[in-house]
Amino acid sequence: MDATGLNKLEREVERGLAALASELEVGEPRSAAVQRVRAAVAEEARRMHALERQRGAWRPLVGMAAAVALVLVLHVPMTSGPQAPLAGAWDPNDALQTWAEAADESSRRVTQSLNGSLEASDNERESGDDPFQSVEESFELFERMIGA
Amino acid sequence: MDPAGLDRLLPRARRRDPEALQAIFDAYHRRVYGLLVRLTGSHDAAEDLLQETFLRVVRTIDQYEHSGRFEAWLFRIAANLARDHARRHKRRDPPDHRGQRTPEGEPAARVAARSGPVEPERRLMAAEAGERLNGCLARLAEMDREIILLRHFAELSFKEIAELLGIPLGTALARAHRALKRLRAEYGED
Repeated sequence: MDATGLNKLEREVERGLAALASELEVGEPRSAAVQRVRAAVAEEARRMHALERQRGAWRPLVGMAAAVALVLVLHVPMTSGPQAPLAGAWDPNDALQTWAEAADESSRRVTQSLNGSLEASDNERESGDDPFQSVEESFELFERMIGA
Repeated sequence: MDPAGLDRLLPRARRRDPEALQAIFDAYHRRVYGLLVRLTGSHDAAEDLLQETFLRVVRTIDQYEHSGRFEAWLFRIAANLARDHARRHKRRDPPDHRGQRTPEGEPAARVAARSGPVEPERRLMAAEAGERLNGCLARLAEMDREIILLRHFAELSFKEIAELLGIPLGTALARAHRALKRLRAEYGED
């Protein structure tokens, strides 16, 4: 149907509806019903408003918790282990230097300890305490104890 | 309600301001009630659905995007509720056109008993005429009935009604034309 046909049909329908308009009217709802619905509308509005305020109050807390969780997730791997892959401030040269210093220190302490042991051994030897003789004496004592 | 008044009320209604929502109810409840009475054929059902319609408005007003089509949105809620009501009661009861009320909303028999000798007769006749019209409307196809009633009570254009029902404008007009013709024939003969 073209636009002219639609307009004509619409005018005809409007005329038919206008003739029926007063018949279609139903009057008003009972005033008690109107008051009841009016009160229900206000009560529901207050309920929804309170519900939204409750939700609104939780929103910043949820946001803060999410932010803290995010910081922890990003921060912990950076600082908790030498293998941290995301460590933004980690400098491999510094780490290598620290490792080399620690290795030097460790080596120095081992050397000191070894030297100390050797010196002690020399002193024993100089004082005539032969460790092998001591072992021989121990065996003899053992043989006596078992009655061999 | 004039568009400027509605524009002022809607932002407050979206914030669930009880006074704004009551003002919307005051402005529209008569027309919504009229649509519901004619769609359900029952004043009692219409009163219940009137409350349900406006409670839905309160609950979902924040989802409504205002573009000057508030009435289409509001009456669609009412029409959908009436349709659901009709489907729920279809198997249980035939359309209930008994218990017809006077234009003031009171049962005609009660008013007739209270009033003088001439007044009750006039009121009863009006109530009977309303009952007959409800009967004729009930015999129309659901969509035809909705088109007629949405045009009358919601004051939507046929273009808006066609969009609301998801049909072409020509179909909406043809259905309205056919429905009116049938109503004239049945209501006139009744």
